[in-house]
Order: sequence, then structure tokens, then C-alpha cells
Amino acid sequence: MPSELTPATTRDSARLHPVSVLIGVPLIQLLRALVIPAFAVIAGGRGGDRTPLLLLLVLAVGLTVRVLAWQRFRWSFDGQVVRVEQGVLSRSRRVVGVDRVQQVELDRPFVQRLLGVATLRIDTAGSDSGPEIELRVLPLTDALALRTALQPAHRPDAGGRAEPVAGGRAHVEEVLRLPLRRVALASVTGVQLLLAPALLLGLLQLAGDRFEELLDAAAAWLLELQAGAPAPGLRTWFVGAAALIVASVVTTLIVAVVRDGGFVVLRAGDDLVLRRGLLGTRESTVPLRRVQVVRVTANPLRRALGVASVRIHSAGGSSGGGEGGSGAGRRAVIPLVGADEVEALLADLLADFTTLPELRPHPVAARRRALWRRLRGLGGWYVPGALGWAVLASAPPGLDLPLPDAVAQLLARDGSAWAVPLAVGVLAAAAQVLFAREEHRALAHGADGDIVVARHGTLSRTLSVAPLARLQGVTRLRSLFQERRGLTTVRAHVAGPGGDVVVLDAALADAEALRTILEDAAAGAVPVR
Amino acid sequence: MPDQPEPGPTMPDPTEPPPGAEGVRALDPRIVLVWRFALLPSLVLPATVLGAVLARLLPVPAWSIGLPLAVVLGLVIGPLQTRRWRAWSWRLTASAVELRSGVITRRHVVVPHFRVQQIDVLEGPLERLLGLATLTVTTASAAGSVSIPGLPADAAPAVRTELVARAARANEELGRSGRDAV
Repeated sequence: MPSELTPATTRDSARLHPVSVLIGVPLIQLLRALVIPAFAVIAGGRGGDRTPLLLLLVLAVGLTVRVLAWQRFRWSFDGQVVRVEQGVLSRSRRVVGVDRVQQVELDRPFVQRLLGVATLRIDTAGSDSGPEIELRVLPLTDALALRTALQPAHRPDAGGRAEPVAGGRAHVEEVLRLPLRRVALASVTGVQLLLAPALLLGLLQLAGDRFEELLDAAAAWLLELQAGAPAPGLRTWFVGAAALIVASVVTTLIVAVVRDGGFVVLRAGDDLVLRRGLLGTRESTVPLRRVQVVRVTANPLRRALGVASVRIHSAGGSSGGGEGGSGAGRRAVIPLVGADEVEALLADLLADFTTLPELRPHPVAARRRALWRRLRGLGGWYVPGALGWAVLASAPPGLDLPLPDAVAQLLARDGSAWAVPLAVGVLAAAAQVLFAREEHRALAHGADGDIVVARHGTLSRTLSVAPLARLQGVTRLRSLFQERRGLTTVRAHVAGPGGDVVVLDAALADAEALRTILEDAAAGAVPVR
Repeated sequence: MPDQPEPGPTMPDPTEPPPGAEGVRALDPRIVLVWRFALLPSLVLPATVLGAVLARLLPVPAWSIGLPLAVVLGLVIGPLQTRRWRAWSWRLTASAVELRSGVITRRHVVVPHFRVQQIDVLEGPLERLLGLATLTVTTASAAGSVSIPGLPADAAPAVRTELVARAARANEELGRSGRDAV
């Protein structure tokens, strides 16, 4: 493996580090490829004495495929374009010019760190899923040199020093450093916490039917420690639930601290670098001029605590939507910043940003529209539900339906055919009124000469900030109902998977003014800073 | 596109085009036929099946279900599609492609020439029979691809050429000041 990569000079194509035979694909993928055939062999049961032999064969085939894949993977960089040739049976050849790069990521999971290798991902605009190029894995020096060479600011000087970004290049400046307690706070106030119990439960389910016995035994043991006498069922469950919650919080905390510990945002020349991780590290590099939209999100808990998370979207292809996704957007998230620091941070993240423009609230009619939308959505499950209930309630009494006792008793009561749907309907509608009010409160938008800002959300609020110079187009939507209430929706198209900036149900005059600004900007009227 | 004759229907917005801009254009009226046919599998068939099932199950005469259903279907297939065609218009301004469409929700999309990444011309089987084409303009935005249906097939290449030329010009002009479309 030649590792004296000199950027901006032509070099011959190279292979990946040989160890990528083993770690060149994600562990899960590797397991799936090996475990399923292995299971098939065992479950088939026809092997008899030959089962170990067949297993060895499966392993050998898997290994051969990986070796071939490694052997046939070639990459090169000549200072202008990255070339990748790969594929065992069907060959593919990819060419990516430096000027098309949207986001670069240097990923070093723990194992790769131990081995002195790293994964480099290069995202360009327009690739549907996954990074355009994934070099998994390279010797660390090669990966660092290639990343440096890909940064536009460093291409002219072919020095190509191979050192981590924080390793002391003169113009690197720290924008933000998250203390560990912030990372911890982010983990216990985020959605991951809600997922953790499900995950734990799923793991426990694997233990099969014995799970409940196990839990009972554990709870009884816990209670015995305290009171001496074993407790009845309900208390057992209560303790079990409490234990589950504690375990969830602890797991979430550990995962978050290991993954996001040492989180730091750096400015290296014209690039933004997000670096994080204790055991494995990950560095995402986004050129400042590639930032398409920044979203500041806070759920009610975080809002009460005065904190928010910030997500930076380039046009980098991989979407991997949602907070749990693995796309480029997921990889450029600052887990937690103080609400009072957001404005200063935005100024660091967006070249065009100075201060937040004044946000205009949307007219009251928008609240009625929000309520209407919600009731319409509610009707989708309420009407069939109520009808189904009525049918069940009017079914002949002899019919033995597989229902829980409580439900069956409720169904048997006089008048429950209409009383239950009515009660549920009233409660659900009341909730929608409250939600619609929150939704309307969140709605606001603003724009100045450089950026457009929109806020939306119900319980969780999101502030989207996009530089005007990057907008791709504008859509104005006005339904007959909106027209009657003097409302208009404006969507500012943002490149990449970050999604549009949507100004929902703004006042007619405001929306028209905004649209004019946005259209001019999209057509290129806004100078780039 | 100076050699493009206007298709002829009443223009929704007959503004005087500024320099570089062109007049508002309607779609080819034959597109209405394509739309009507497109409704067959997605609306008419399911509605007929649903109507038949309801007529069987409910204790009401069949015509009391069939008649309203037929009226609604007739309205959707007939006048609504004509309205839809009338609501459609597009034009090239000096800096962008502008599209207007929609009967119930009115949509107005502006895609600047500078941001255009890709232009496709598509002819479906029915469109080919009628000599029509659909032109799709794609930008880097996930939501930003827009289509102009109902172009006469022989006019589509000219529109495409014009759009490519405008995109190239905008890129050259704005690229000089170090601008990037994405």
C-alpha cells in the first residue's frame, strides 16, 4: 500500500487497505451474508456429519467473494477527480470531480482506530441513497491526505500534510465545543430515549417465554432485599417497569456519550468540521458554501430547558431521513446547544447570516386551517373506528369475539354503541384544538437580503434557515379554502435531501412579498459572500 | 423559441413579455384525453367496484348508489379535466420557467434557468399515439422537478434546446462571479 499520497499530483490507482477484506462491509451485512447460509445448512439438517464441512464451505465462499471484491476495487485521485472502479461480476466506474463534492466524512470506528485505518465517504449532490463514494477502508495517512486534498481551500498548496484537522493547522478555529454533560442531556431529552425501552424489550423478548419469569424473579429478589416478603403481581410489574426505565436511560446515556463525546465544531478555512466520538471518531466536513439549510429543532422538554439541536444539510446525496437515519444529514447534527447560542452559531454555519430577521406570525385563519387539517386526518381513523365499534356493539350477544374482558363488558353495556365513539370523538377533537393552537403559535417566517427563515411544528418546533443564494426554485400553493381565508403557502426549494423551507398558510400580502424575494434569489440575483 | 406558434386557447394571463421572456402558453388540448384515460385505472375502476359492492350490501335500490356515483365520475372525467387544462399555463421568463396549474389548489412554480440540472422529454404510449410529449425539468432540489405535460411532440425538442441554451447562458453569466448552482 503506497501511503505517500501527494495531493494534486497524478498517481496510479490503488487498492484499499487489505484489512477491508474483513471490515470493508458493515458488520451487520457481513453477518447477514454468512449467518443466513450457515443457518440454512444447519436447519436443512441433511448435512449430518458433513455440517461442519458445509459451514467451512460457506465461510470460504464468503471470504473469496470479499477477497475478490477487494482485489477488484481501485481508486485514484489526480488532484481534480476521484476515480473508483469496483465490482466483481458487474464492474462500475465512478468519477467525481472535486468541485462537485458536497460533504466529506472521515469515519473511524473503534476497530478501525486500533488498526490505524479509516473510512472516507464523499457525498455529492444528486446521489439518491448512500454516499457517492465510500472508501472503506484506507490507511489513515491516505485518508487524511485525500480529505485535505479534496478541500478546495487546500488544493492550490500541494503541501498535503497528513494530520488530523484539529492537529494544529494555523487557520483552524474552534466554533463550539460540547461539554460531556450537554451530550448526556441531549441523550436523555431526545427521541432515542423513547426508542431505548423498545430496544431493550426487544432484546428481552429474545430470551423467549422465560422473560416474564426472569423479571418476576428479579423483582421478587429486589423486593426481598427491601421488605422481606415477596410482593404480588402489580408491584412486581411496577418495579420491572422502573428497572426498565433506569436501564433505558443508562443505555442511552452510554451510547450517546461514546458516540458524541468530545463533540466539537471547527472552522478550517472555508470548511466546517464536525468531530465527535470517544472510542470511534467521526469527522464530517462540509464546505461553508455548500450549506443548504440549517434546522434548529427543540421538543417541548428541550424547549423548557432552553436547548435545541442543530442539523446542517448540504446537498450531499444520502438522505437517511429521521434522527435515526445514517445519511449525510444525520451525520451533521449538533446534538445540543443553548437557545441563546443559536444565533451566534448560525452566523458561524452560514456565510450569509448576520442576525435572524424579524419573524412574522401567520394570521389567525391559519389556526383554523391547522385545525381543519387535523380533524380531516383524525376522521381517517375515527370514522372507520366508530363504525366498527357500532357494528361490534350491535352484534348478537351469542357471538364470542376474541376481545379483552374489559372491552367486551364495555360493549355489552346499553348505549355504548354511540356513547363510546362520542366520548372518544370529543376527547380527540379537543386534543386537536389544542394541537392546532400550538401549531399556529409556531408558524412564522421571515427573510432579509441573505436568508429565509421559517418556523413550524406542533409540540416539537423547527426553525429552518436557508441562504437565499442557494435556493433552487419556488412554489406557491393556494387552495380554494386558503384563498377564501387570504392564506398562501410558499415552498422554497432547497437542494439535496434536507427538504424544502415551507412557509405554511402565510398572509396573502406577506407570501407575495416573500415569493418575489425568493424568486429573484433563486434566479441568481443574490450575490454570494 | 421564435418559431413556436401559440396553441391558441384563451390565455389566462396575457401580459406583455419583458425582454427575454415569452408569452404565456397553454398545453395542447389533446392532453385532456390523456388525463381522462389516466383516470380509468386509478379512479373509474375502483369506484365501479366499490359501487357494485355497496349496491349489493346496502338495503337500498341499486340506482340510488349508481346514479350519484355516475354523476360524480362524470363531473371528474368531464368538466374537471377541461378546467384542469384551462388552469394550466407555462412560460419562459428572462430568468426562469414558470408554471401555473391546479383547479382546487392552485400551484405556481418558478424554476430558474440557472438551477436546471437535467431536462427529460418523455412520451408515454398514449401520448405517442396522440403525438404529445412531457418535458421534465429537474433541479438539485428533492422537490424541484417539474413537468410540462401536453407539448406537441414535434415542438418538444425545440423547447428542450431553448431551455438548455438558457441554462447554459445563466450558468456562464453567474458562474463568472464564482457561483454554483448547488
